[in-house]
Formats: sequence, C-alpha cells, structure tokens
Amino acid sequence: MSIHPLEEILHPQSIAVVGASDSGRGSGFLAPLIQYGYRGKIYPVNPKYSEIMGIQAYARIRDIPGPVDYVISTIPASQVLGMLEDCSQKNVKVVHLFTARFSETGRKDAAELEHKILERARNADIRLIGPNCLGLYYPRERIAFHDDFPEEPGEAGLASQSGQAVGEIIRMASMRGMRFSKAISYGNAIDFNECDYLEYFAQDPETKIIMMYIEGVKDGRRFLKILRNVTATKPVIIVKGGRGESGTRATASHTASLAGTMEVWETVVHQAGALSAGNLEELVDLSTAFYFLPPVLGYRVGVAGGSGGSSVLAADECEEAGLNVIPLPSEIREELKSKGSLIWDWIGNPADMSIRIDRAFDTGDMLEIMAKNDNFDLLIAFMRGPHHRGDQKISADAVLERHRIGKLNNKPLLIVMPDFGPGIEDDEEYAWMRELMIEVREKLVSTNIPVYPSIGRAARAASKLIDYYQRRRSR
Amino acid sequence: MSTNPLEEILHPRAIAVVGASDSGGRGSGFISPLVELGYKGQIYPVNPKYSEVMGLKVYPSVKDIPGVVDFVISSIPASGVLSMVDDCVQKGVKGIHLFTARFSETGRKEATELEKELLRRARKGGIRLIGPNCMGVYYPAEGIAFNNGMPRESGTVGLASQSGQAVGEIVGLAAQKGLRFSKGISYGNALDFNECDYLEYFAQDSDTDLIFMYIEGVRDGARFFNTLRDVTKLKPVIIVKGGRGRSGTRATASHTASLAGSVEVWETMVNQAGAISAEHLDELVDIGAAMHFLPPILGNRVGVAGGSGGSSVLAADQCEGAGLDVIPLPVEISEELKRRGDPTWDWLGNPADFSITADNFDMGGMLQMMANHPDFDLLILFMHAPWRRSRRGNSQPISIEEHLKNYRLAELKHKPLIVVLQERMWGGDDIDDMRKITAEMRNKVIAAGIPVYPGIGQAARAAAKVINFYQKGK
Repeated sequence: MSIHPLEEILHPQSIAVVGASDSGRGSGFLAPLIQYGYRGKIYPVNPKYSEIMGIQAYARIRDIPGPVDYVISTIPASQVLGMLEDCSQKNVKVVHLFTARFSETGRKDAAELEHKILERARNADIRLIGPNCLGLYYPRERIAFHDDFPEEPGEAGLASQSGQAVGEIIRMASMRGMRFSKAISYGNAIDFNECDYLEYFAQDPETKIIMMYIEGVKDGRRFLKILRNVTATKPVIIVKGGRGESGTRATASHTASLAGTMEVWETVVHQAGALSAGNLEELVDLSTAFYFLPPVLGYRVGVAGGSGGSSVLAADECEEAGLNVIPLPSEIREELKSKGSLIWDWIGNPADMSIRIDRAFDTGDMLEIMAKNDNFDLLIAFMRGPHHRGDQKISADAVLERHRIGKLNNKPLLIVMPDFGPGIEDDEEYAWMRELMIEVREKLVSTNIPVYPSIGRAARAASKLIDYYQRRRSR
Repeated sequence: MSTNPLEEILHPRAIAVVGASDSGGRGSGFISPLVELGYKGQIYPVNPKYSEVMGLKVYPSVKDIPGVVDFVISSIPASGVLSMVDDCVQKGVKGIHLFTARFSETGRKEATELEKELLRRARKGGIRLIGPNCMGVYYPAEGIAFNNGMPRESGTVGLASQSGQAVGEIVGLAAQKGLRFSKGISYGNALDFNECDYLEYFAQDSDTDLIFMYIEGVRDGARFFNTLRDVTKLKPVIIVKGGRGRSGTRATASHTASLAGSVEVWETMVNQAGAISAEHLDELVDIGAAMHFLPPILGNRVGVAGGSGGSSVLAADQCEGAGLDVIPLPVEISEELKRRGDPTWDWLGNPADFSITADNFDMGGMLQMMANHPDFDLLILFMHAPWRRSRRGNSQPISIEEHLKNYRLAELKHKPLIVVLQERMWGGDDIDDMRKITAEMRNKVIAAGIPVYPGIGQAARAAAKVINFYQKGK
C-alpha cells in the first residue's frame, strides 16, 4: 500500500514560520512549537528581525541553511506567491497557509490570487493546507497551534474547516477525557480537501474515531464513497456548518464554501453510516460516548441516582431520545425484598433514591444490582456529592465508592454530573463542593467513563451510539 | 376582594417543626434554613425525645407549645400524622406543610387510605395542607427557606413545583442567570391545595410578575386551563411537564401519585391557554431570564455579532433552526463601514464575524450601528472573557471593567439584547482563574440588566419562545 500523501508531510524534520515576530499574530505559531518541545528545527522567517523568541531568524526561506519540510505562512496574501518561489527552491513539501483574505472575501481579485497560488504550488510539487486556517495539532510530533492543548496524544482524529472550532472542540473534549491523534484545521481547502483528510484518518492506525466540522464539500461523490467505506470500521461524526440560508451566507464569507441543501446532506450522511451532530457540544457528546463505550447493541437503559422531579424528567428525556426505560425487572424487586428493603415494591426505573428510608441502601447498591441484570443494555447514573452547606466533607474516592464505580460488571455506564457555575453570591461557601466534584469528574474520565452535564445530552449520545452499532451489525 | 387562602397561611407568626432532631438529617434540615434566612417569628422544634435542638427549646408535642402556632412543618413518619393533625386543630394551626411522605405515591392501598383520612381530618379542623411529600415553602422576604444556601434576596418570579428537588435546582440555576423569587412552593401530592390554587395565588400576588411551574399531573384539568387562560393575560406562565412518556408516567405515579395524561393533549391546551411550555428545567430558566430582562420583542429578525469563524456559521444555523430570521447585514451598515474606511466593509455580514476584522476595528461602533438599525428586532452578542488561560503562564490579564468598556453595552440597551458567554467545564487547574473571571463577567453583564446564556442555541431558543409569546398576545 502506498503511503498517504498527508502522512508524507505530517512528520517534518523542520518547520519554518514565515512572518514570525516576538508578539502579536506573528508569535502565535512559534510560541506553541517552542513550548510543546517540537523536536525538529524551528526557523523563524522575517526580514525585520535577527532573532525571535531566542531563535535565530532568517530574512527569507532561501536563506535558511538546512532543509525545510514544512512552512507555516502568516504573511499577507499579497506576498504568498513570492514566498512559494522560495519554497520551491528549498524543496519544501508542504505550506500551511494561515494567510487569509482570499476567495472568502467574495472579491474577484482575491479569488484569482487564490487560484494562482494553487497553480504555482502544483507546479512546484508543494502541497497546501488551507489557506485561511490554523493548521496542525499533532501531539506525538509536539506540533500545536494553541498553547493550552493537551500534550498527551489520544485516538480521536479531527478535521475542521474552522480553526476556532478545533480550539473549542479540543478544549471541551479534553475535559471529558478525550485526547487526539491529530487535529487539522483546513480552511478554504484549495489543495487537500475534506476527502483527503477523511481518507487519511480512515487509514491512520493512530485514529479510532473521526470528528469533522465541514462547511462545504469540494468533491461530494468521492467524499461519500470514502465515508461509506470508513464507517464500517470507524465511527465518523460530522457537524455541518451552513445549514440554513443565513448559515450558508456565513460559510461563503468564512471559507468560501457552497453549503448545499441540508436535507440532501442529512440523507446522504445517514445513508453512508456516519453520524450528524447539530453543534459542537453534540459533536463532543457523541464522540465521548464512542471514545469510551464498547459497542452497545440494545436500548434498554437503567437509570439511578436521581431524586424526585429529576427522576421523572430523566425518564422523559431518555424515552424521547429513543432509549427504552424498562420497568424494574421483577428479579430485582425480589432481591431487594429478600435484603429487607422497605421500598422493594415502590422503587422503579429510574430508581429515585430520594424515597429510600434506609441510608444503608445507596445509589451504588442499586447500580450494582442493575449491572448484574441482563435486561439492561446500559446504565445512566446521576453522580451526586454533598450539596448542602451542613454536609460533611468527604473525599472524591468516597463519592466514587458510593456509586461503586469500577465494580459495575463492565456494564456500559454513562455518568451525569450537573456542572453548575458559581452563583452571583454564596460562591465561596460552596467552593469546596465544586472542587470536590471537579476532582470526581477528573477521576471518572481518567478511568475511561463518559461524563455528561445533563441527562438529555447523555441519553441522546447513548441512543445515537446504539443506532450506529445496530446499523453496522446489519450491514 | 377576599384574601387568597394561601396568602392567609404564608405569613406565619410562629412555625413549629414536628420531628425536629439534632441528627443532621431532615429533622434538623428544616430549622437550619429558617435560622439562616433570619425568619423573624418564633421557631418551635417539636420532638418528645429531645429537650434542645440547635439551641432552641424543644416541645414534646404541638399542644405543649406556649404561644400561638400558625404554621407547622411535619417531618414525622406517616403513621404519626393523624394524631399530630388533631393536636394542630386544638392549637388553632392554620396551615401544615407535610414533608411527611409515603402516602398514595407508594402505590399501596393502606397508604392511600391514610392520605384520605388525613385530608378529611384537616378539612374538618379548618387546617389547610401543603403536600404531602414535598419540601414546602421558600419565601425569602419572610425568611422562610427549606434548603441551606437558598438566596436571601427576593425577586419577582413565583414558582410552584410538584418536586422539591426541582425547586432547589431551578432556584440554583436561576440565581446564576440573575433571577430571584417572590416565593417558591414545592407541593408534592397536592392533596389539599393543588396546581390551580397555586396558579391563582401567583396571579393575584403583587410580588410576582412571572410564573414558573413544574407539574407532573393536574388534579382539576378544567379549572386549571380556565385559570391558566385568565392568568396568561396578566402574567407570563412557563411550565415544565414531568411524565411525558410511558416511563415518565410510571415515575410520576411513584413520585407524587400523579396521573400524567397524554402529552399531545397537554401541549395543545397549554399553548391554547397562552402559556409557554419548556422541556426541562434549564429551558424553563432560559426562557424565564429572557422574559424577565427583555422588553417585549416584536419581530424575529436577529443581528448576531462577535463570533469567530465556525462559531459564527453555527450561530446562524442555530438561530435559524430556532425560528429566528438572521437577515443579511443591512446595506446602510455596509455603506457606513465603507465611509469609515473599514477594509472588511463588503465582507462583514450578519452574523458579524469579528475574527476577520482589522486590528483597529471599532467593535463598539459596529454594535451600536446594529442596535440603531430598525431592521433588527433583537441582537445576540458573543462576549469573551478578557484573556485566554495558558497552562504555560502566558496569560495576560486585563481588568474585566476595561474589557467590558470595549462593548459599550450601555449604548445598546434600547434594543433587546442577549449576551452569549461560553461557560464550559473547567478542569481543576482552571478553577481559580477562568471560572471566576467568567462568573464575574457574567455577573456584571446581568447586573446591567442583560440576560446571559452559555451557548447560542439556548439563547436563540429562549428568544424565539419569548417572541412567539408576544406575537400570540397581539
């Protein structure tokens, strides 16, 4: 099998940052490479400086003494053609164009310049990422474009037409315990496009789930063909930007994409076996489920740990998401009765823990019993810590033990933990509870358990996960 | 006009807590919030087993209390309730809140019969009941609360809920959005006072101008919808219905012994009565905040500003998906940008993506133009915390005050304005900075009378429901 063209350029021995400077936009790409400890050579390029961030700077690319594999361009659009000449002389393999203001401006001269750039790059055998994008995050190679991305690699691959979306997705997903093999922001996609990125992640052994943010597809037929093949082995979750009239206008001015009609899009994505998410939160919700859960093949859910109204609304939201909130199996009632529970005939599914009389019987006991029962395909548990001022301080491990985390028979489990921000006042008095629950969440995600801020989001993610595995099985 | 029967019991001169204890459980749980909120009347713990609870003298029974007792909170087991009611009748008690549960919601016959007898005896003795199986009254102006940490400040939202857990959650969520309550009442099985009484009460209550309800089942459907139709002419009513599906209906039966009924019928009737239906508690509070802070919005043409790249595109999609009309940027604004020499004048649209603008872009000026333009019925503005956290110490703090000045919010307030300020999960490292900065910024925007949402989707859906409410009312 031949090496994928993207694979060839993603392991550069050296990176030049053209338009680098000590501060402002020109510093944005240099600083993360230094901070992440990129192992190859870093060459800042700017005729105005002799040294940038403690590294020798060069006036032009052709002045760089050693070989240059990868170039990040932050110079104005008008200077790009000249820079490409230099790159050609230096045998650069790829240029990532952060440089923008091309076809997305809607201006004729800018679109023509973009066209010329592609032509020049093709003639010189240089591949392009972008333009109008933030480029590459590849933790294994210690390449990043923001300084707050995680250093550890993971198994999610992300291709996005928006760099802002990459930042938002990585920050949200990190809090849920996910890590990335690579994430690529690819903007206007004049050379490598969505098909190349999808195909790359499909064959990439470092990637087990694929996330995409797409505004417009350059080659629809090829995209769907690749998509149909890859979804048989790896889940692909896609957010489509530009679904309505105004969103379509916005994609044109953002990445010069023709968004196309939404109905067609939804249908073909679904037929290809991929999953569609409505926004970035849902993308992260779905990905979290795929990242951590095994294939789940049935919809019968056991819900525990809510109280009163939250249990009622949990049942409603699970059912509306397509899960089957089955009545509590009679074996469980019998077991509760034999253990002397006073609510054996009253408690149901969802198991409303506020009705228990006996403090010895807690959410963990209920979850343990549900986990043993074959009638449940998956469990969703509300994770609660102390929440009244008078409550005793306990450790994060004690909260986990109360819910028997790690002792639930490997039953697929999703945790719901409301993530309340601090209120207007009364903040300080409750700080320890919030810190405790953040510690609990961090322990959960580090043991590969998906965590959601609300039952509705957990239920919708679980239901789509099950849809995917059911369809994959019947293909 | 006669006084509303609820009004008569909500200003007690003294409260007795029957079943009070020092154990740290629910027995002491009702006394400590009363003390914390500074309830001014007498608090009488009642329990034959103790002589003192939380520094207060304890009485063996309600009869033994020396002074008047207007209101009783019962946290004793169901089996002791009938004789307690007899004591209360002797003492001239006006209202009893029964935290006591395990009645009809257990699905057991004897428990249901006990509940009936309880109602019969209370009626005969002239005592009104809140509950059973509920958390009772939160009335900050009277210093009455049932959880520690409930806000001391009063507001103008009235809340009636069949779930006490929901009251706690709603009050907490609402506090973050700057909403405060006149009263919040958890009413459980609704044996005596039911949803109709609470709705009527809030309708005539001069402290309340917005009504929230969480309902699992309606005891008197015809009266409820007649009342609702009348009330929505005076005050907006936002309702969450619990028990919409099969499993939820099972859950309402075991929670508050409610018959949930069909959700299609419910939705139709709520809608016809002019009320607003919300799906869950977050949405209830989202819509409530828009109702509370915004003037009537008369059309659905929205201007969106301040996003960047993908977030602007998805903002447009989510606004349109919610039913708002994201009109193209009016040509007068483009012309004005051109006149001012803005290099992105022909590129900037609606949503206005501020990531494409030049470094010296006058953000405040752009927002002002949008606020002044008659084609926009409302504006949604993305705001960002003044600095991005860096795990490697690169952060450059700017004061929140200085940062907020860039937006010139005061000059936008003649247009209905909603702010989106992203609040995501923060990790342990971030807790002391980003979380606090975001919270402080949110609080300052809310203090300026502007509703704040954590995402564009929530903002757009809340706005669309409020617009729909005003359009129906025309």
